[in-house]
Amino acid sequence: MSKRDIGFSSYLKDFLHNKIGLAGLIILVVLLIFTGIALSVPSHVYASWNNPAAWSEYPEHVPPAWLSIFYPNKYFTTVKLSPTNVSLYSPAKNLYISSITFEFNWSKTLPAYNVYFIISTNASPIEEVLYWTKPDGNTLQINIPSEEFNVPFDLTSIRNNILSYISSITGKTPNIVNSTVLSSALFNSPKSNLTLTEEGKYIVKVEIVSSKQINVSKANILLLGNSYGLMGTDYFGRPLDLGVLLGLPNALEIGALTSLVSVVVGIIVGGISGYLGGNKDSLIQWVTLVFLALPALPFLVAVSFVTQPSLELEALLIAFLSWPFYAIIARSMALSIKSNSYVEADKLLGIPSYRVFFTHFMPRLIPITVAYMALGVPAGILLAQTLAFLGIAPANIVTWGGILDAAETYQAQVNGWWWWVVFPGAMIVIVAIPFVLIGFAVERITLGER
Amino acid sequence: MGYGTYVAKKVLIYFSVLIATLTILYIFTFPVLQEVIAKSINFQVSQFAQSLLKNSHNLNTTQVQLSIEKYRETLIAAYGLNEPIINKYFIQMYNLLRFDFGTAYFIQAPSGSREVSAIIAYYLPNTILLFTTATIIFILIGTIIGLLSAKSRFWEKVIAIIAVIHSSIPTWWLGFVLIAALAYAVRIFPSGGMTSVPPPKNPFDYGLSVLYHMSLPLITIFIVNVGGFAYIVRSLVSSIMKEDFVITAKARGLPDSRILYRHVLRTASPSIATQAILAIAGSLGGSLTTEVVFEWPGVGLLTYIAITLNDLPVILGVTYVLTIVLLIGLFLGELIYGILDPRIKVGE
Repeated sequence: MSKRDIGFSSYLKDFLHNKIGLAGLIILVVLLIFTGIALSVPSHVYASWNNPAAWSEYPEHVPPAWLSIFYPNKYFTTVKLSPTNVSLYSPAKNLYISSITFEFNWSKTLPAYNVYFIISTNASPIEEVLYWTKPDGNTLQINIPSEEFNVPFDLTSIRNNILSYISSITGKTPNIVNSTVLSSALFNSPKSNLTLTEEGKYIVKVEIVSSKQINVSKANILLLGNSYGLMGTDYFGRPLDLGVLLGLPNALEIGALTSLVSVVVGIIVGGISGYLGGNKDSLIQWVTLVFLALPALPFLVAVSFVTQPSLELEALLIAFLSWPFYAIIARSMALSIKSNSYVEADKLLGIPSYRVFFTHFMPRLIPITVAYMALGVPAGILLAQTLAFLGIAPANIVTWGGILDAAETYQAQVNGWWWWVVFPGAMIVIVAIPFVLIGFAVERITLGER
Repeated sequence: MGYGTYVAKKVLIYFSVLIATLTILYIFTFPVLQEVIAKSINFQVSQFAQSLLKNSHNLNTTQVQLSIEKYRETLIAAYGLNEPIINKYFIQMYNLLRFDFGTAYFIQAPSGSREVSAIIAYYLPNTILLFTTATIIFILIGTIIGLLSAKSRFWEKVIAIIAVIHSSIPTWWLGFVLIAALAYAVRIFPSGGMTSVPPPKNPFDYGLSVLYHMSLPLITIFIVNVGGFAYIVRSLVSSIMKEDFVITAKARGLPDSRILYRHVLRTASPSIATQAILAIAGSLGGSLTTEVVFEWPGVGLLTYIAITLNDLPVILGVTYVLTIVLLIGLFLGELIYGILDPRIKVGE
């Protein structure tokens, strides 16, 4: 033990003078601010995370948007177009035609990732036709199937017309039909056999034919980019930056709860065990060993089949398994405190043992308790995320482990979707680091520099 | 107390710990266990019925029904399903100690057996091969770095950084990233599995192939664990450095390295051994997911498959087996501790 004073304010002063500890504290404050932001996200966003339909207007498995800074020709973000002209005319009685025109300039060497049409009217149309005019004047006519009226739809919903256009130009139908292939038909020049993108002004006209007066309530075209947001999107188009943010509160909660319970229980059990000694110590050590021998991961997996654990229950189960580690440490600490001469002196003076425990043991155990509480948070977070990675997580919450599980399932590593693997995992590390730093700083202050 | 008495005492303690741990597992998994046993009985009855229908053509339907019912009742009695809970407990404990974990729902061992113990027996050696190799490597190198850091400021700084990494990186995630980088982007290492497909026939080539497939998981486990272990060694060593006998040795003018390796290391070795055993225990339990990422055909991958298939008997079996493996590890640790700690040998 160091010879410095025991007292809260002196610990705090030392802590604030410690660079490592201060750095940890600052990161923690930043994380708490983000937690506040995450908690203010409306609950329906959390609920829609596992619903793929909610993310259909987002580009699927695209890298982060900031890549466009490094590769301006290769990466671009989604462009939302508003109509430049909406006209309505009635060529005959009970026949109304609404024509919505969009115009945009395309100067990228790649076609848009996908094109999303959001057009809704008050009437149910008889017919809806799309005219896609390329810069060189070529016009592609696409008849929209009736089931797509008034519903946002993308290129895969209108693939038949586009495929016949592709085969009319290249002379063969493509083997793989995905949004990229379909989009290349809209953006690439027919002269180059649809391999080169045409740059210039595109005009898109949507004609809606109806028997009633048409009132267009919404008309937009999304030219989906091949990059999105800060962290890209996953296989379903879910933006990963949102997922990472939504995963923050529960990670912190489970880490804090686990560490609080397991460290307090462990230090009390271990401290008493080392303090009492003798047969009682042997008995407590035996109990500690029993819990130490339970393999955490399989045990939690097996138990989660009995009850579907909530977040709090999962934290308590993890704490139930991890307190022995702290008990072992606290016991050895207590043993070393016990060998000090002032403890022996108190015993000789006939001071009751509970008072000796509170005056000499607890004050010396509390700082180390704080240190291990901080160090215990990452352990809890890691175990909880590992469980989520195995597909065992409390229902209706977003976890980074769960996101990584999906990345594993959809073979993100094989497909080169590195952002899907790197960012959620890096968040586990980023959340763990401040606690580790704070724990190390407190440990160093209490045990003293060598 | 000699070493023999010490061992005998430890054997008793560890056996009682085993029983207590299995009891806790039993209490926590009681409801699913009943379900597992009921399904297992149904499976065995249906197998019995099939063989009966195939082999005995001279029986009429009532006789067949009767013998099937009789068989079901003997099975229910054998598993103690209709008995009081205390009897159920003893039957289950007896079965567990005999490594009888029941029949898997879906998973089969390569031999075709659906016995959970046979399935685990096939996968467990692979897990032990990977994790013991990894643990031995990181403990050896961790001890060396820990000792070096007790001497030099530079190594101390390095250790602090890698100890932070140790406490904050999930092994499976690092594995994930390394696979993406080193197996798919730059094709240096295989992406997963234990041998190349098809496995080489020649035993030497086979061993080489296993080593090649093991290298990336080994690197991953090493990176994550070496810092934490070195940090533990460093704090053990630096606390011993303050002891009187080290100061005396310094006063006698002995060279630093001699003090470090002869005096300090010898005193610290029992504690290092204990910490090493705890590290093995921790790494085995927590790194099972590493196998999932590397498709290493061990118990972890088996557990993952069992989770996706909802194959409860396998999950329960894995939990029991890992408890036993962990206890054996801790027990061996105590034995090593007994050998290294001079006080036990002398009989203090």
